This record gives sequence, C-alpha cells and structure tokens, in this order.
Amino acid sequence: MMKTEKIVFDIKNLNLFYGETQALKNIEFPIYEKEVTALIGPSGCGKSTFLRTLNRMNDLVESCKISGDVSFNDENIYQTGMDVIGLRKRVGMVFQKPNPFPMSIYDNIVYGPKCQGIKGKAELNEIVETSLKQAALWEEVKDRLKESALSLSGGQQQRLCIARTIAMKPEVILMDEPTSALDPVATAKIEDLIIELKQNYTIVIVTHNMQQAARISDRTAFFLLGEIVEYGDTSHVFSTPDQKKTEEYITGRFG
Amino acid sequence: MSMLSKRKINDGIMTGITYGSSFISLVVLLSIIIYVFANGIKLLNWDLVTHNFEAVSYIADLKDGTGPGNFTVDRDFDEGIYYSEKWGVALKDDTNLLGKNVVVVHYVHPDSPFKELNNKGVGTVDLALTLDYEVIRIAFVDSASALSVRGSEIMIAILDANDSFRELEFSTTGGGIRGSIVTTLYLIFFTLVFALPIGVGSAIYLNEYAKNTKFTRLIRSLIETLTGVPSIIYGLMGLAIFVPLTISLTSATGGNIISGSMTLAVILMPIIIRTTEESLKVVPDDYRYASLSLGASKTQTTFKVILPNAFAGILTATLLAIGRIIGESAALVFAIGTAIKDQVSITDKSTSLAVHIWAMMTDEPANIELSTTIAIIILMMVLILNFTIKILSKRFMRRYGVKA
Amino acid sequence: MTLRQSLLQSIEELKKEVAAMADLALANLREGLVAFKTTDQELANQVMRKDDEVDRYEEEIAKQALKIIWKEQPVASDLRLVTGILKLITDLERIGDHASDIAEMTLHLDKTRNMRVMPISSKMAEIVEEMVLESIQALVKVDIELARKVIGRDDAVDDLFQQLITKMTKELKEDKLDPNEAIYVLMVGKYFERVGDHAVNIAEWIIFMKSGTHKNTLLF
Repeated sequence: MMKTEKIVFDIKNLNLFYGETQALKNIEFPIYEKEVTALIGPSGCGKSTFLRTLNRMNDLVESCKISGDVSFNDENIYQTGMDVIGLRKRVGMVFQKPNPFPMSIYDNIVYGPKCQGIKGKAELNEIVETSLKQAALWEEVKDRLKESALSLSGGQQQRLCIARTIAMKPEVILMDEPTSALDPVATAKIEDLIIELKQNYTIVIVTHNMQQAARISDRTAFFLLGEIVEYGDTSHVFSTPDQKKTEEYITGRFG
Repeated sequence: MSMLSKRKINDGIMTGITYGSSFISLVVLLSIIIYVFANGIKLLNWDLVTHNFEAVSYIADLKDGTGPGNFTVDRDFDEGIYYSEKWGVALKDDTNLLGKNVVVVHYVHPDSPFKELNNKGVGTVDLALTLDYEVIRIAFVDSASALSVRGSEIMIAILDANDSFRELEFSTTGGGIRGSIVTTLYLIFFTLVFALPIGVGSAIYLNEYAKNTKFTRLIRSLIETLTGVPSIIYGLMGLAIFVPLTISLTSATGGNIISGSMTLAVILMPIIIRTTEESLKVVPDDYRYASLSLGASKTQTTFKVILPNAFAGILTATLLAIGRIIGESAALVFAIGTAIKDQVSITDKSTSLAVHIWAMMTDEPANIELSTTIAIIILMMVLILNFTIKILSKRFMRRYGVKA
Repeated sequence: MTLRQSLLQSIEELKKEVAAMADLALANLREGLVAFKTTDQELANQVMRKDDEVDRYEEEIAKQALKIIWKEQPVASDLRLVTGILKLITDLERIGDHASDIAEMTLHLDKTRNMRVMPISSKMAEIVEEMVLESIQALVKVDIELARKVIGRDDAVDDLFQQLITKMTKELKEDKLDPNEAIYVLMVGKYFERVGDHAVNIAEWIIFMKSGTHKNTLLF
C-alpha cells in the first residue's frame, strides 16, 4: 500500500529532563501521516514520556524541562505563545487505563465539542453517532446512550474513550498502551479498530506487546534508556533489525 | 495452654472490646436522645413554634353599656372547665409554653361583655378576650380580686358572685420560639451564602491551581490550625470587626444577624476548605488528564468535571456547616446578642435557637424542660434540612449525570 | 540475564537435530557411492534402508520447527533460522533420496562387470561430496563465505556433467561402451548433478538465515 510519506511530526534534538534526571536523549525522527507508528522498549525507557511531549501533556509535571524541536505540521509546538489547547484538539490521546467520565455515554462524547462551544442538539447528536460508528461501538450502545459510561465493559470503555477523542476530529491520535489493561478479545477488537482508523488518522502507539507492534504498525521505534536505538519500517525491524540491541530485545534475549 | 486456644482467647477479648465500645457508644447516644425527649415532650406543641416569645399583658375594662347577663349555652363543658353563665366565659387550668401554671380562656360566649373591651393602658383601644389568653386577675369594685393563682374554679366562682366589674388583667400567650426559628433560618442562609463560595473557591485554588511550594504548604497548615480554634474567640473577633462593619454599612445599631453570619462564616471556612479539598483530592487524576487531552481548558476541567465529582464531599461540608450553625452559641452571644425577638430583622439583634436555649437556661429559674423541648425542635430541624438537601442533591446529580 | 530459556533450548535442539540429519545424509551419500563403485549389493540395501531414517528426521525436525513457531512467535534471527531450517531439510532429504537412488542402481548391475567408474564421474562425485560437506559445515558454523563458495562450485559440476554426456555419446557411437552399463553411469551422473544443486539450495538458505535475502530477493 502506498504511503503518503508526508511528515506530520518532526522531532529534532529532543532532550527532556525531570528535574536533574534526563529522561529523553537526543530524540530525532519523523512521524508520517496516516500511518501507525509504534514505540517499543522496556519499561521506564521514555516511550510514554516521549508520547506526552507530542501533545504537551508533560506540561502538567512541574519539574519537566524540554529542549529541542518538536514540529507539528512545520510548527514548533514548544514556541512561546503556542496555543496548547488548540494543539490538544488536533492531537488527541487515549490512555492505558480507560478513563471515561462518570457521566452518560452521550455526555462523554459531547464533552469535548461542548467545551469548544458547539451547542446545537442536532449537531451534537450527529457527532455522537459518527464518533461511535468510527470507534466500532455504535451498534452496541446506540440504545443506551443515556446510561452511565461506567456500566460498559473495559474494552467498551476504551472504545468509548477512542470515540471521545475522535469526536474532536483530531489529526493525530496518541495511544499510551491502550490495550494493556484489556483481555485478548477486547485487545483484538481495538487492534482491528486501529487498522481501520489509520486510513483517516495518524496514530502513534506505545506498546509493551511486541507482537502487537508487529501486527498493527507500519513503522517502529525502539526506545532504550531514553534514546532511540533503531527506527524503521516494522517489517525491517522485526525481520532484520540493524542494531544488535534491537535484535536482542525483540527476540526476548533481554528484558 | 496451647497456642491455638491462647490466640482464640486473644481474639475473643479483642472482639469483646470492640463490641463493648459500640455498645457503650450506643447507650450514651440513646441516653442523650431519651433524656431530651423525655423531658421535652411535655411542652412540645405547635404553638411553641408559631407564637411570639413576648407575652403582652393588657389591663382592660368593660365597654360602656356592657355588663353581666345571662349567657347560657346548650352544651356541657368537660371536667375541669368552669363556665360562668353570668359573664359568658369559660376558664380552665393549664400550663403555658414556659411551663408555668396559668388560667386560660377556654370559651367566650359571642354576646359576652368580654368580647369587646377597653384597653386601659396604651396601645390599641379595642381588645377582646379570646381563646388561650391567660387571665391573670379580675378586679371588682366591691370585693377582692380573683387571682389566677387560686385556680380557674375559684375564679369562676368569684366571677359568678360579683356583678360589678373594675378591670381585667390578661396576657397573650408567649414563650413561643418563632422568632428564634426564623433567626436560625436566616443565619443558615446568610452564613452559607458567605462561607460556601469563599470556602469552595479557596479549596479549588489550593488543590487545582496552586503550585506546591512552601508558601502553600504554610497556608494549608494554618487552615488546619484554625479548625481547632475555640469558637468563642471568633465571637470576640466578630464583636470587634463585623459588628462595627455592619453598623457602618447598614442601619444596624449593634450585633445583628449579618454580623453573626459573617462570624459563623469565618468559623466554618476552614472546615469547608478542608472537607472540599479532601473531596477534590479524591477525584482521580485520570479525569483531569482525559479532559485536558480533549482540549478543555483548566477552568473547564475544574468546573465541568472535577467539581461535580466532588459534589458529594461539598454536600457533606454543607451539612456539617449547618449543624455547626444551628448549634453554635458561644460566638453568637457576642456577635448577635441575646435579645429574643419576635419581629426579626437581619440588621438587628436576635437569638438563634441555641442562644435561645442558653437564655432559657440562664434565666431564674433555669427552664430545663423548655430547653429540652427546643432541643427536640432543633433535632427535627436538622433532620428535615438534611433530608431536603439530600433529595435536592440527588436530583441535581441526576440532572448532570454524575454518579454518586 | 538471557531470557526465554525455553526458546533458546528449543533452538539448540533443533540445530542439533539438523546437524545429525545432515551427517546421516552425507554418510549415506558416501556409502551409496562406495556401493556403486564396488557393486556391494548388501551395502546398497543398507543405504536404502537408512534413507527411511533420513525421512523420519525430516518429519521430526519439521514438527519441532512448527512448534517453535506457534509457541514462541519467533522474530528476527530466530524466525529466519527456523524458517530457513524448514526449507533446507527438504534439500537434505532429497540428498538422502539420491543417495538411496544411487545405491539402488547397484542392484541392477552385474557383479562381475566393473567398467562403470569413469574419471569424470569420479571427479563429479568428489566435488559433490565436498559441496555437501561444506554446506553442512557452513550450516553449523553459519559461515556465509563458505556457503558462497559452495554455490560457486556448482558451475564446475554442471560442466562436468555436460562433459560426461559428450564423452559417453562419443564412446557409445564408437562402441567402446556397454550400453547397459552406460545408462546407469549416466543416471548416476545425473544424480550427482542434482545432489550438487541441493547443496547449493542449502547454501542459499544459509545465506537467508543470516541476511533475510534469498537468491538476491529480500523475503521481508
């Protein structure tokens, strides 16, 4: 399948510190449009931290300092005066533990649009239906939109969170280990969903599960101790990786 | 003794202690309730709630042209009620709201001369002897007065024995706590109006916006300390600050309800801040992350997601506050004063129910029975308020789709 | 600490089995040749029986390799190793078959006539034996250079086979050769040529196991 090869995020020379500790060292690589880019690597090696730099959620950590260039559509998102809220509308995020609001399914999805000032009932209804359909959840919940989101199963809640993110019509969806809290069937459903979604959205996914990265991603970046050891086409990384460390990690020779 | 049986005995002792403590707590609580009810139930009646406190006494005489006659009635009066056919009035013995023995009007014949009387003192010219008024003294021209201390039977007998009439001394029923109830309600309202926004707002700032510096930690520990300050000190502060403040801003001339509310608000603020902060802390960070990552601003996140979720905690804070307001007496003695009022104005002195109890108890002699009765009424008020707030909040939460 | 002991052990066992199968196939090849040269029909029968063992090895190894695939989901070098092995045991098995075929020729020949060893065939046999030996060595040592050498020698074998045909055609026309014998000599020559091809296949899969490229095509 032909990839568009348009670069959505261009990261150059990214260094990140939590206080004195350096969590990311000289990160440099591009993320391409409408592809799934997987970030793999052992725990605590900076993958999630890196993901959060893409939508500036690291701003919430007081001791976090960043240097370097993170460009989103050729715009440096860390420049002074950057509209962070606008950025987060275009770069959505799905978290490891499904975190729907304790509201109804309907209210969860319209939360984002309402915060933007969208009020019309017809428009909101349409957003709800489209988002739930894109998240492969519509058929299961269309008759109980007013029920609490917490009454859904774990897998359904996660798809709801995806729908909620999609409702904002983002360009990029960041996913931080979205299936690690789910059972295999729910995981498979979400993987299928991701493969569908990449036709319309750029997806960056952090995963502990290498088979998952192999199954669904187009490109893979291997993070180790805050650095990128290797970045390339998934088929290349999983068949003939360039770096010995990559080989050792993905064949499970070390954890 | 084997290890197993030793441990069993230990377990048994510990369980026994826990059971015992619960039992003691239960006994203590029940004792208080039983004491209050047993003592107070006697004086409990609707009039207490609706009547004024001040009993007004009047001295009246007959209007010209009226006098004794023959006022027969068809029915028989019950035992203990004495009717004078000559004057058309029935009296009986009773206890008033304050617990004193009095002679009370039971029935007045429509044609009785007592239906329309002249006021010998100042004030409205026309008076009438109506139901439930206390008759204190009936004076006659030629003979000795009939005094209420002798009882209603004797009074009626003397009445019947006399034709000339000099004057009648009677008084409206008093001892009601209506004024104090109204005051208490005003207090609750104004205190909450002052305390809730400031308290909840501060809690939101401290928990959501403030950075964790030495300064904020200092503020927090100060607030914690304030919760332990005895309320009488706040009363002094109220006297020193709020009373002059309200005097200069409004038509108040001394302690008043507004100044009392302000004082109470200050007492309650640390508690409200603490409780609200705790309930804000409990809201999972997951919700904040989710909201922010959807492109909501911090303010939107705080007010659309965090606050509704902390609602239960804020509700608890409110109920605690109400309880404290109703029960607070020491501070109010200074900040509002101890004058029991019937016409309640927010810029004037008044008493809350608790202060009313205090006033009753410091009276000579201490009126324990009435105090316990008022205590019952307070308990019922608290119950009703709690209940109402719980129902209202359930509806509110359902409307916003927030799960309890 | 190296993890995935289960995978590591399985891979080691697999390699051992493949080495054993290769040794057996090579041994059979040699004995088949000896039987043919010396018209030792008893040896020939022995070689034919031993071929069953080689076949069984193929099945065993295939089973083990598949187990590693479903159980361990191998990637990268592990994956290339397992799939490479699955492919090259086919060629080893064919080598074993050809050894048996060569031995079987012996059964059709007259014990007394002994004119079937021609220098060209001998040369072919020599080279092909070496090729198989070297391909097995390359497999065990994962030696790409050696594998390339094996591939390079195939041309020589093909040339020799052409020479054999030319020579035999000429000598048959000149009536210098007994046609009965000649047919078998030709067939054996063909078998040698095939064994050479299989040795080359094995070498090519060895290169794949190292680099992911088979005959200059990247298979990933």
